[in-house]
Amino acid sequence: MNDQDRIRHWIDKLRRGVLEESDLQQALDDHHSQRQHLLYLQAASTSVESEVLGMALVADGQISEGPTDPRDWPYQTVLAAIDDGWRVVKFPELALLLEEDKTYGLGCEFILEKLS
Amino acid sequence: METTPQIAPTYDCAPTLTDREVFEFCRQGYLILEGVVPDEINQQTMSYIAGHTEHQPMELLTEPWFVDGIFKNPAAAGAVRSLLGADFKLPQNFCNHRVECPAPAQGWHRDGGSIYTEQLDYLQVFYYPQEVTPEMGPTELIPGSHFMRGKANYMAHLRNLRLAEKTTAPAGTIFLTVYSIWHRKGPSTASCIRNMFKYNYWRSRPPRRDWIVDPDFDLSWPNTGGSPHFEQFKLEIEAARLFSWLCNEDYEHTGGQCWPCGAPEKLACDQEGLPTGLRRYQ
Repeated sequence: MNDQDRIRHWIDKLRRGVLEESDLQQALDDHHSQRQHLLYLQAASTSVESEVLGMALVADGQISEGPTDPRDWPYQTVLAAIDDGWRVVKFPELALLLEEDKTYGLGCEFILEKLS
Repeated sequence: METTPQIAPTYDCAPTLTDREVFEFCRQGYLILEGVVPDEINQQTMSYIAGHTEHQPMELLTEPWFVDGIFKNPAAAGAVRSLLGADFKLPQNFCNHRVECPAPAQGWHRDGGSIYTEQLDYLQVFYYPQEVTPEMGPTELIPGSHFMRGKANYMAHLRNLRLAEKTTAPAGTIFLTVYSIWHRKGPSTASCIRNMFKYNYWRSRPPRRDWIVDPDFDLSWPNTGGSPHFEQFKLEIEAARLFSWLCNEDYEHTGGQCWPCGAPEKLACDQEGLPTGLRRYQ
């Protein structure tokens, strides 16, 4: 049950007068036990529609590279990851890219998170 | 005990690379010479390191069969001669990256001591004495990354990269790289020992275009395509800068559409900005 469904469930219990302290405690416990998962995506440009050039996934305490073949990666663009519920927590830092005669780093990096 | 290398400090031979190959090396930052070391040398090397598993089996530097077969290997030395000029300095230090597979991937990095430079005064060279399959975690390289500024400590979160090239290769393969190229040991799933030697050559003479000059190679109008991790033409501009330095030619990228911008067809004129000594039409 996702967060929205859980809240709807509690509203329904509240309306029926059967919401209990344990329900709210459970919500609190669940909130504290949420873990952050990270998705690093290096893209060809700052557009969320540009091609993903690199990926790494930090989930459930493990770092993984994803499928070997880029065609099998879960997201080919940053936008596809956003559509799947990932939230961008860091956009490419344009302030660091203003020396136009130099090339820094690998692609434009987005860092995204999910909590579960 | 001090080991005294029995190799001469410098070496010379005929260059083997053409204009096209030198320009491509400048652009990609590496050149793979597949299976150029004879099988008997590969087997002799494998036999030796089976009994000498240390990181730096330095006594190999005193073995003529190793020095002649690897460091002075005709294909490899010819390529080194092309890029570093006559009387280049032979390696006087080396190591064997001996990996017990299976093993996770190494983090992406450029080696310690890397600098960003528009010159090519040394080469980092790798030698596989055995076949290295994709399952054995071949070294992976990012083409063109010798032109990308970055600190190894700031690459540690990078993992799976679309642009990475695996150096899967038969036994006896030697590959030359610009020292600062981004690379890593790939993940391995096989159960085996993978050996890989790594060593450097150095320039002793000023650069000049004394490799195999190809009159049919049109430097003016490269048709190299794009690369998604660079702004349009940026990779070619940096490669042109390095190539010009190797030719001892003055080059200044003035901006706009000038050499080495790509063109779909070769034109019967020199592109604006091509260094004087490289022009075919005056």
